[in-house]
Amino acid sequence: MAAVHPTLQDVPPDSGALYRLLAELRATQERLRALIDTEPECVKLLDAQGRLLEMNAAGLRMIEADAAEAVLGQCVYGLLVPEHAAAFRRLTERVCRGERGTLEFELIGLKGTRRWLETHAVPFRDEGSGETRLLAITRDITERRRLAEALAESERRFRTFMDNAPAVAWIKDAALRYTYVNQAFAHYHDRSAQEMLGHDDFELFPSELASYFRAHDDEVRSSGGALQTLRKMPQPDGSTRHWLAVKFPFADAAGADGLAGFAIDVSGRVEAEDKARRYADDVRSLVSRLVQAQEAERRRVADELHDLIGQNLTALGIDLQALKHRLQSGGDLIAGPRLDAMATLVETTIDAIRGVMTDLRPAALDEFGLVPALRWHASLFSERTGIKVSTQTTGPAVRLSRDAELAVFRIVQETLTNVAKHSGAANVKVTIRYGDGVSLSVEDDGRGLANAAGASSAKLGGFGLTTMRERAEAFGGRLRIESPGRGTRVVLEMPKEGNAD
Amino acid sequence: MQISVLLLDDHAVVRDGLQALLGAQPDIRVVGSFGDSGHAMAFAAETPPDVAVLDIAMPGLDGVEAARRIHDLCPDTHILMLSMHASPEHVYQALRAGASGYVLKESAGGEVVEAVRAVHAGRRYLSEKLSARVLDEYIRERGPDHPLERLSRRELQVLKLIVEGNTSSQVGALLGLSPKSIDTYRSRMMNKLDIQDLASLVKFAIRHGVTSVE
Repeated sequence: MAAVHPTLQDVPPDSGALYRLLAELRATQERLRALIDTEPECVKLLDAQGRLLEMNAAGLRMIEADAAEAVLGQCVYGLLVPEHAAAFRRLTERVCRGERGTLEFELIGLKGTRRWLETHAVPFRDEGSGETRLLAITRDITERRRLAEALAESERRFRTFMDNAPAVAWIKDAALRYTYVNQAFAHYHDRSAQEMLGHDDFELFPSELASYFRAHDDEVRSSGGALQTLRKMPQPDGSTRHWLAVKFPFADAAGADGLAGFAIDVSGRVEAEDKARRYADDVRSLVSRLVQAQEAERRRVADELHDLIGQNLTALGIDLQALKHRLQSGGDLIAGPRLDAMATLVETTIDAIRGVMTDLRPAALDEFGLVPALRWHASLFSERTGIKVSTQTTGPAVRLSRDAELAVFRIVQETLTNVAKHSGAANVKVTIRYGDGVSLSVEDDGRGLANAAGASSAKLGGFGLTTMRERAEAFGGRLRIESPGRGTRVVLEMPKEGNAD
Repeated sequence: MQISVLLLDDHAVVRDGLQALLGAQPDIRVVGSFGDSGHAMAFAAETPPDVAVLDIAMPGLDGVEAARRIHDLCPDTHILMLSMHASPEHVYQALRAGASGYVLKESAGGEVVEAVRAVHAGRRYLSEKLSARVLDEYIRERGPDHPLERLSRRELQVLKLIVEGNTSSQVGALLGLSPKSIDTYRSRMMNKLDIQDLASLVKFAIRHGVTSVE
């Protein structure tokens, strides 16, 4: 560049040499011009008043000028957004006093496009006028600023989310030092986030807790995927609480294998669930004890009816007949009809007691098992209600345990009672399949559950059904009720485990 | 010739009533009245009665089993069951055990005399309330017994354990019973199934799925 500014002393006396020198100078100037014009950044020259003296093609594009002539000699301050104009003017004046400077500012092009620009300005002494000008290279930083703003916005959103989350959240680098913790995390450990950053668990927490965290971190790292856990965790205060945690590999700023996680204290929920489960268990065992107590009581009453009352009445009936024979042979015509009436009364009473006995505890069930007892019950049911019941059995009957058989019997009994009460059915089909355990279905041709009059959902889901379910489940069985429009089908599956003794 | 009758009922009041009622008939003579089946069996074996009147539900030995044994001991004795139970299966089981009459206790006063005469004459007698038609229908519907259904729960357990290769004392230990009772269960079971040897028992058990082939 030294050759660009030859002084007169350098010019040799002979004009041929001068001519060559001038030609060389022109060539150098043209190369420089070409260089500046192809420069992708804006190159410009301003005087101390901000007037544009020179500008390359990139600069003209930046200010959206169609030709240099349109803007040369004009003051550029008007192109700046108002709030940056003063700073730019100060820079120009400073540089023209001989200083260097840089400035980021926003400009509105002649066609209205806003751009963020960054300019690096140096003083440039004009040999001709002796004045100092501003020579500046300016680049468009609109995209860079947009990215930086987007990044800052994204960071702001991340922090707002994280700091308002009820969960504790953290990020650790490859050395398992915290590089981010949210407010909940800091608050939970009663420290500021700043205090924690750059430290690992062993530096921050008691060793028991730190070892616990570390073990989980190692698990995540060895599994290589997200790990969700619900665990009882020792607390800083020595208690234990239930935490639901998700940890996952998370590349740190340097791209190394860090990890991150969320955790939320779900002790309240876990305890409520435990409590609900305990209540449900209590209710179940209460129902089952109630059923057992009821059955025991029924059995006791049935036995009493059979062994004492039934037998005594039987004896009474027999004695009355014996007495009648004796009186008739003695020729007493008045006592005879009275004795007949008494005998009839005794007979109908025993009959009634037998009915009650069978209801309380069907003897056929204990003695002969399900199928005979169900057939008998079905025929009594038909006699009483007029609903026809057909009973079908497949497979060789296997005796289940006494209690399991009773449970099955009671479920069928309850189902038939419901059929009579609600379904309006004319026919019921009872199917008993023996195989691996026993599978039983009771199917009616009534109006179906959805249309059953008087059978509100509360009633159907009520105590009767609950007890049926409990009875089945007590022996590992399953009860299901199907009602596809017309008719209702109650299906009971009892596994072989119900087969015990 | 009077009809000799043996009474077996654990309820003294019923027994006494029956004795009084039947004893009052000129053609009937009560030759023995028992509250427990052991004595009744011994008596029957010694002097077989024409008719045995048995209560179906007795503790220790049920009336159906008593009927079966009397039927074995003295095949010429006609058996009349007395029962509180009206289920057709009860009736069916009694008839199968060898009874030829079944009288409900509520009707005993009015029917027992007639029933004793009927069975003695070789006819079937069922209480008026037990419709013969219903019973026949029931027996037809219920189909023949599955051989396994003849076995009690305990016998079934013993069968399974025996065919799986356990000795009587092993089975006894498993079920908490003496080897002697296991032998009793075993012979009763083989009797019921009409099977004479272990090989046939194993074959039977496999055929009916009591045990699987190893």
